[in-house]
Amino acid sequence: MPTRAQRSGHYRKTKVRLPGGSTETHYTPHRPKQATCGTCGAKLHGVPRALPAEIKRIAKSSLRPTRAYGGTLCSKCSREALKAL
Amino acid sequence: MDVGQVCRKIAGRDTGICVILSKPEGSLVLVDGQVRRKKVNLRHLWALEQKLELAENADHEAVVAALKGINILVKEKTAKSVGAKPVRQRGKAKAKAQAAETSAPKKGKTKAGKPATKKAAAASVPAEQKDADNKGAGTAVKKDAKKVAEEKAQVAAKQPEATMAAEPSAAPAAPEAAAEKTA
Repeated sequence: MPTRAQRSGHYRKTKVRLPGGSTETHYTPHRPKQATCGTCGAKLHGVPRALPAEIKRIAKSSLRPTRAYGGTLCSKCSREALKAL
Repeated sequence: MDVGQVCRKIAGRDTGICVILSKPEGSLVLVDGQVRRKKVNLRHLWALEQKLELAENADHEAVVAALKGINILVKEKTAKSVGAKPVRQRGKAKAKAQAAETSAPKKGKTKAGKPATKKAAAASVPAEQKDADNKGAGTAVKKDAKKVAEEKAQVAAKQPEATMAAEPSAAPAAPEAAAEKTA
């Protein structure tokens, strides 16, 4: 029987085949969705889909592009925002 | 997009206000200012209203001075001072280094001005303090005695007021005693 915490929709069930031939159900958390631009909604490049515990281990430079508005706006929208400054 | 045109760089890792310093070679121009001094694509620049009078390929200092005239500040970056990388020593080399540190004679003063040897400590102490040190507890006792004497004097100054009140009653008694004796 799964634990009470695992019965929520936050967890997904995956079937894992063991070396002995039997199949087990593993409960793993859902990964977050891909980040989107705050202005136009386009998917952002250079932003990993990682759990908070994994983000802690990743280097800061690998979490977003090294650019103004990196990780928040797409390249097109960031250029428009800089023109408006 | 001529030499001296003030622009804003809208692409790349460094964005900011810059000045065009060369004529376009295809689509590339030399820029300098709040951004790195480099050749940049004209598409990555957004022209502003201002235009400065600068020579072609002017140096960084001239650009900074010209931008200061239109109230645009350029922050100067200072290079980090990198020290020598520490070398990890193991085994015999580490033991040798530790032995060399402990056996090296400590000349002069060590931490916070403390002398290394007793002789040096004695030599650094002035003569007056030496005498005071030799007397030791006596100086402390003298100070306490001074304080005690002061306190006594203060108490004695307060006491005459009380004795003056008692004296008039005692004074007539004394002559009466003397008269009885003569009689």
